[in-house]
Amino acid sequence: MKDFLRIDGLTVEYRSGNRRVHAVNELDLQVGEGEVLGFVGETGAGKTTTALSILRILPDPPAKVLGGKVIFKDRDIFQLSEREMRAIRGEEIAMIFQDPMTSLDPVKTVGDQICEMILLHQHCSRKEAWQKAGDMLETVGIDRERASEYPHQFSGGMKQRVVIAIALSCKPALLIADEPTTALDVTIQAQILELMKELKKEYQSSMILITHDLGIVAEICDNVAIMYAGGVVEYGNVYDIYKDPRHPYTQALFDSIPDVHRIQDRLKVITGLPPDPTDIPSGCPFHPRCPHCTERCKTEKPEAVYLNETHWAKCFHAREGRNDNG
Amino acid sequence: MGEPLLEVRHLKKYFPTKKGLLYAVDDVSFSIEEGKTLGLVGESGCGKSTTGRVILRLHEATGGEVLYRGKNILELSSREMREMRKKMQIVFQDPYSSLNPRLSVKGLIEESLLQQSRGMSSAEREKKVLEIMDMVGLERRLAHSYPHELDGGRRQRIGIARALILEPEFVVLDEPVSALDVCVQAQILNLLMDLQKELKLTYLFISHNLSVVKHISDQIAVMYLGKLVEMADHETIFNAPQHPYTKALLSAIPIPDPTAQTDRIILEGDVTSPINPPPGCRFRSRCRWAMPECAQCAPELMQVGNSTVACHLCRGEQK
Amino acid sequence: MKQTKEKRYSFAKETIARLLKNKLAVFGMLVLCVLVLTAVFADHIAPYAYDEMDLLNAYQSPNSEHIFGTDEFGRDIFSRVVYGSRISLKVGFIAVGISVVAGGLLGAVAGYYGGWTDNLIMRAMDVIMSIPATLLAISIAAALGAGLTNLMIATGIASIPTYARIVRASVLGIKEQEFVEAARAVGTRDFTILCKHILPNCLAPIIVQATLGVAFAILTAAGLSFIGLGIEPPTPEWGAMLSNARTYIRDYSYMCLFPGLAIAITIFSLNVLGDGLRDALDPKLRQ
Repeated sequence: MKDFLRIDGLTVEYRSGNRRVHAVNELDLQVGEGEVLGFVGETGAGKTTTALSILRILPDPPAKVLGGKVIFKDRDIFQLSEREMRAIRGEEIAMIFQDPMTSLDPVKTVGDQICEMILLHQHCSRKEAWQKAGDMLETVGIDRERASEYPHQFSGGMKQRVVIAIALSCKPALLIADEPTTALDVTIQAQILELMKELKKEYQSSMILITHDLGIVAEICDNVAIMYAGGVVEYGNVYDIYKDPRHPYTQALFDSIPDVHRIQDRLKVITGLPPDPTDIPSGCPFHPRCPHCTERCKTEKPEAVYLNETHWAKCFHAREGRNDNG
Repeated sequence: MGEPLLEVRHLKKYFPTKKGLLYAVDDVSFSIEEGKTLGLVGESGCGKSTTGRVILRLHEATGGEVLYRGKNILELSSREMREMRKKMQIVFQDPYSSLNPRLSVKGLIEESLLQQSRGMSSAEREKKVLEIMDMVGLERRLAHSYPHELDGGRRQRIGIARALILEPEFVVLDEPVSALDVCVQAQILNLLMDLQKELKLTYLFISHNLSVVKHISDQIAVMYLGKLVEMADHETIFNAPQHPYTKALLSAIPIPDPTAQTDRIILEGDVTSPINPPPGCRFRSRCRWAMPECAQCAPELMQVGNSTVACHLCRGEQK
Repeated sequence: MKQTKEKRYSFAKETIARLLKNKLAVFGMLVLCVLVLTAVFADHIAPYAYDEMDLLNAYQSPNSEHIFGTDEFGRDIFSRVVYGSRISLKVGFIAVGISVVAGGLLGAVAGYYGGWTDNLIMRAMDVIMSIPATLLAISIAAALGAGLTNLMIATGIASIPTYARIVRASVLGIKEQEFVEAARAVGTRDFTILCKHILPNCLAPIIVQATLGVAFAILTAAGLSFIGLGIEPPTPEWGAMLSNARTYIRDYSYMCLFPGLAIAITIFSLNVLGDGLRDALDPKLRQ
């Protein structure tokens, strides 16, 4: 399969004074055409930083890309001119942000906001653009009459639909959704997930879905990348990862979710805290919290161990079966 | 059967707004037995947090009674209420905004002692603060740190320590883990459960996350637009939900299993505004089984099997 | 008790240590020290008496004898600037002190209690604000009579509404935060909540406004002196000197320059010190 988006050894750090925050460390990732990738990790794992690097909209300073490549459709994103990059943003790669309340301009009608996006990237008259904006609203399940209303007249879920409509208005090849349902209620989240599933079928664009909710990933993603301390520690298709997680961090992540369908007394927890991003542990970054830690883990950085063609984990013990130590 | 520690009867809280009265809590009744946990679930704006705050008199109720060991605390004078606050505490949702950024960890935890036990010497206070820090799993060396230097999990531990230092009997937990990552969330949930056993605490656990509520609660109450729609023990709610809203809420939880068959009930539309709601059942605009009757009169809570439900559909099954 | 004292001490020490790290703030502090010392030891520093006239040597440009030159009566400007620091600094600080304390208290009460208390206080402030500050100061000074104390009171009262507004706005934001509710949940009294939780979190805007306020106070005081409601001539005062010299700005610009410079330096040092203080008091910026 030809790679559609490939990230090789991406390293990003934030600098403030003498502090250096290692946000992303030698991250490797591939996204195929038409594929939905779930990007899972805790706060501070570097998920959003990676997404912003793909679009090259990292705030610089304080952020600095220290190394690595992002290849999108055979083009190296970091080598493009600002002008070429502007053409890619929105038209080929679009992004949906977490909070629909703040990602819309409160003084413009939603129709105008969709139009703006269309006019920016497509050659058409304002009238045609307005027409298309109405079509987009219908696609996301909003009456086209509401195009002339302002964001504050919409509820949270409706606003997120508008944001999705804006992102999809130029039919991007890649959509990055950063926690698109975190700010919403469960029943509204269910509506948005349903919508995203439909759109996935209809548009067939690739998508990176950033989330911390493993339930959402199971529902719409094809592949999953688990992030820890700025790097991907395990990657594979959803079935492999959910059935047979091999990295101890992934296993711990699954154990910490209270299961609605089972009675549990205590939740299993990972001891310790996520690593301080200014001081990432040597060797395997997870080793201070890992129950299977050996001397080798402390000094040597594990390479990806392939368990099958697509499923890999960066752990020396990945081939060993899962041993529960409770 | 233990005695109810807290009994809430016909609690009402209306907020005046420019558009009319906002029915945040409208005739809610429930009781919690000593040493047990009641989970209060609902979506944002359903009045669950307001209920918690009215019980503690952080907001004054519009009507109803809150009986604590048989005494109506809504009638207490402000001096008596200050005494009462030793027994009833609250842990807030946001471990960021609920801690004064200008106080150190010790200062934050100590605050309640300064207010409530004035005779205590500084050395005694310090000892107490360190003890409670041990209890909630905060390292003693952090006593002089400031909240912004700590991660979310540790901050929430400060919030818990602050609530527990007065040795309360009853604690309102207002979305205590919603702002935390799953791993940290699990740690805090375990801590809360251990503390409950150790200190014989009674919890009112408010959350929008059903899986978390199920994990920690004995009884679960589901709220929709200021009203209780269903109440039952945690197994019944999950295995045999009665109210259409409870069913939808349950099926909306994404299941972390790619092979799971999702037969999801998708609710249409949004939560209706709690300002001047129309008569009848408040859920009817989103309910796929709504009948003409639902628009006419609001359903009363009634016993159906092991649950208490407010829905006209369940009337036939009433036992 | 020992424990508490130790902690207090360490917090103060920490704040000072943070302040000392800020080079600009230290510079401001030094300049301010020099100004205060000048005011204290004016008798020893000034080469001439402030009212010593020498009509033969009027309008002299700065030279070796009169390093800042002389004014229309032949008085040594350097001496007058040195003596002027006594009154100007006093007026500036005390007037701002009055308005910060009164305005802050009114604003805090209005913001915290809301409702009719808020309405009453803020409408009163609106009435005061509707009169131009200088005009208001003039009328208060006129009512109280001339003199240094009345001058300070008049200037202080004139800027109370500014502080009341600023404090009220920040109190409104902060009282909604959960930590205020948390304090109420443990039975903290309103007054303690206001002093311990709310006001410390409004410090930043107050400090910024207060440093600018000193300049305003000095200039208002000058205006009042100019129309005979403040300091009686020949007592030197920077603002008064400045407004006097205005007449001669075309021909003898140095007469304006030096008192103006003195005011500017005071304000600048206060500003950088204020910024440094604001940061040093904020534990969030602790490294």
